[in-house]
Amino acid sequence: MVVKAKTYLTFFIKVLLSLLFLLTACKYDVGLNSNMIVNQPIDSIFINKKYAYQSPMLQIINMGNNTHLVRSFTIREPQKIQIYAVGETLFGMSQSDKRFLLKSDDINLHIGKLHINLFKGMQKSLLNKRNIALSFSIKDPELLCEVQIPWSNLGIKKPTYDMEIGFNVTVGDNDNGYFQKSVIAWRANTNHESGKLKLSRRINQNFNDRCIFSINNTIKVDGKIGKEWLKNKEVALKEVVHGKVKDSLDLSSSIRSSWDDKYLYFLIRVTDLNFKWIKDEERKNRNTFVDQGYIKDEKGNIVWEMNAITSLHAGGAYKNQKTDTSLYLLPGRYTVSYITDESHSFMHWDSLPPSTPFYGIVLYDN
Amino acid sequence: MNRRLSLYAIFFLISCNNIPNKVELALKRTGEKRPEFEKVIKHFRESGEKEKLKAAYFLLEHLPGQFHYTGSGVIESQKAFKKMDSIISLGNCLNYKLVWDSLEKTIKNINQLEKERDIDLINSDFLIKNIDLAFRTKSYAWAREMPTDIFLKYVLPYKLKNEHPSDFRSYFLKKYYKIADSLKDEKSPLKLINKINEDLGNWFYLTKLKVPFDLSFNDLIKIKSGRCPQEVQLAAYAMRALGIPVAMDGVPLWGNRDFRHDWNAWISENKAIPFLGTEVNPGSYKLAFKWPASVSSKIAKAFRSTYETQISSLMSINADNEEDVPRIFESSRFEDVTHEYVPVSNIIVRIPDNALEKRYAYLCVFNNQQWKPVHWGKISSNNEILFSNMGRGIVYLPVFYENLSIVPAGVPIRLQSNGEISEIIPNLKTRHTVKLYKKYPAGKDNEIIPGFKYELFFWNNEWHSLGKKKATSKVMVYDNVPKNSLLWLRSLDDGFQERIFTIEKKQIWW
Repeated sequence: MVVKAKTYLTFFIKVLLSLLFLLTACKYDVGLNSNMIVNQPIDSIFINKKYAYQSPMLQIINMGNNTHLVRSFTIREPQKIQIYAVGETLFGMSQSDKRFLLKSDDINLHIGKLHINLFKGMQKSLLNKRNIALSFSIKDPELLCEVQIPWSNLGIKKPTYDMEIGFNVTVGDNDNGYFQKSVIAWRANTNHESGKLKLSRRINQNFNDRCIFSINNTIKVDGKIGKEWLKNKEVALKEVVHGKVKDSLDLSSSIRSSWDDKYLYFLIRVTDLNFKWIKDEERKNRNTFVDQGYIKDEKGNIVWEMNAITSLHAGGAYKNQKTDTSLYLLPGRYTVSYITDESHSFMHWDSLPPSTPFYGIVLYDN
Repeated sequence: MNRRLSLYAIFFLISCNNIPNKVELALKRTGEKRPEFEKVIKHFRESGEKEKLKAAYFLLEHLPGQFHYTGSGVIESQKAFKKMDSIISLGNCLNYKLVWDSLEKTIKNINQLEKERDIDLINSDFLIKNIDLAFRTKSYAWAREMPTDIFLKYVLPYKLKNEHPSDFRSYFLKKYYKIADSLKDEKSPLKLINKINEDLGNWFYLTKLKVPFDLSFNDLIKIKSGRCPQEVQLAAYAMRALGIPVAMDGVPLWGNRDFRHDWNAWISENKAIPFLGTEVNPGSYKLAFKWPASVSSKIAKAFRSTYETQISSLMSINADNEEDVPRIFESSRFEDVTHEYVPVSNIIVRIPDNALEKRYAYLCVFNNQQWKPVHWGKISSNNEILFSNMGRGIVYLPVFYENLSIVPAGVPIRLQSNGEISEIIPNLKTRHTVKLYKKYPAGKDNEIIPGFKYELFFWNNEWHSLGKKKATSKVMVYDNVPKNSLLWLRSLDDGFQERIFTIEKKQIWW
């Protein structure tokens, strides 16, 4: 009798729990008013459960292709809002590609613990801060980059012959104005310890591929291969560490090095059929999403927009990206826009859809 | 009973031996070559392969209209292709653009071309081999249950456009069979498309190739380079050889900027998923994408190259050649697929006067500083023309075609993004002052440059000049501009990017 009672009780509790689960699941969707249909499990962790019983401040979700919807809201007191957004980025970028997103054609020098990123059009203030002299000269498809780095930047008071410093150099190639499609390096392991720079009087006949010899000489930094550079051996960057290189005209590079008591010098030659440099102000304005949401204030300034650098994979095709962030807003009237482009939108997927409960943008009062 | 059975047997034999009417008509048009092409039918009848017989009927039905180009233009071009092939085979790293530029200069009489019918070149063995190799791909999961019409249209044809026929299937089956076999159980060919596309991108190079005929597969393999039509063609050959239904789509002219463009479309579940052969995979390709310093491209009309003759094409309807038609409409083998890419609207134009007594009229877009036709419509008895499925957000001009030139047939028509249609009629009595900051909507170089000379035009049945001026600041000010006019600001000093616009408080670009 007791056993039977226990069995019935257990059964009753299970039914009750299931009902409770169903009810909460339904209520979870109430705030969203979503009818997302996907062929894979819905990502129910995306929206914080504290919003489950809350109606959103605003939502623009699940539109088709070629749409542009705008909604507005008013903030009466300074407050935070919570933003959940799902959209589509360019080119099916994968998670690994984000490291190369919105980067120019560039050169990276890893000298000891010092890392210097160089590209045409970079802010001079960054160079001035470190007393680095830089010169570029271009004769398509070849670029010459001359760099002069004070030893003090490396924490070295007095360089001496046969001194060895951990070293590597990489060259990135951006052909479309959005991301680097390939990177080549001298050493495949981009850790600066994987290769050495050795200060020398002259090129050692027993040259080895783990060591670049820097020849004692003073160089005039003017972007040309003067006679003083010709004493140095040119070392090719042969390792492809990211993406693909079609051939040497697509991307190839070599490096030479010299030194004197004050400075360390490099001459980097890059061959690239398609140079692309992105200025800082261009980087801020360059759209990385093709289906995206953004918020403007009443003056028309964008106060927030989806950005592929900070977004995360939203499930399905890699180009599905989601954002979960909060924003502090001052009192005023704001507009929220969501734009979809010609393909891949709710119920018009051309690849695997995201696993989020919606596609679009939802705002909550935080 | 025996009599009934005999009747059934006779009926069965007759129906089996009956060639479909359309195929019969096509065979009649092959003339002396008929026996040669009947061998194809006989071959598949005897083998009992019913599906292949259907395929043969499809190819034969549309065979008579197929042609390619020969003549000294082609021969001279092929000499250059051969030289390029020898240079490539040396194995050195090449600047393909520079190499082709220098070889192109050696081609003489490039426009001396003659049309030759495919039926005078190909034979039954060629068609049978094409069909057999196409059906071999049915062993792959993605091709096994493909709807018949999709297979016939987008896998089976032995050619893509008006190129010299050649066997592309053997080459690509050999080249990619290992990759295909490793994915043979995949119901979707997407992974294979991506792998093939990426491999093609490793050895195909973009150049400024410009020849007035479609390259054959053999030509393409020699030069391994070209523009977007060639890369699209190469990808279509490779994919179709592996049983992937791929089409070649394109805009003959963009609606809001210069030039044209071609791309591939993977036909998946009756949807066209665009991609760019050798460059961008399906799902990643965006036709309307706004590149930096550029505009978001707008499609006025998009067309798909087809093997089969389109009976609704202007060429088919105007088969009696009663009226000259613009060159863009001289083929009957392309279909309108604009609605598959963009929201569209029908435009009805009422022309006040058909003094030229034309049967057809055209809608033009402004492209490369000229009005150029992109679509046609038949003029009805009450002087109305229906232009169907026009892309939105574009200004069009209705025209006639007379003596190889366009003649305006009406005023410019503005088709807004929301589908609203309005006419742009300059108000010659009411004029205003306009301030102009650019000659093109994108690019810093297109802003007004102090010291440069400009000329502003408005459209009133032709372009009328409002005068040449030298810019003294970053703003060009023109007085006396008719309200509600279509305008065009030309730089007389530098730059080729220019675009038509209207004024609604600011420059609105079309």
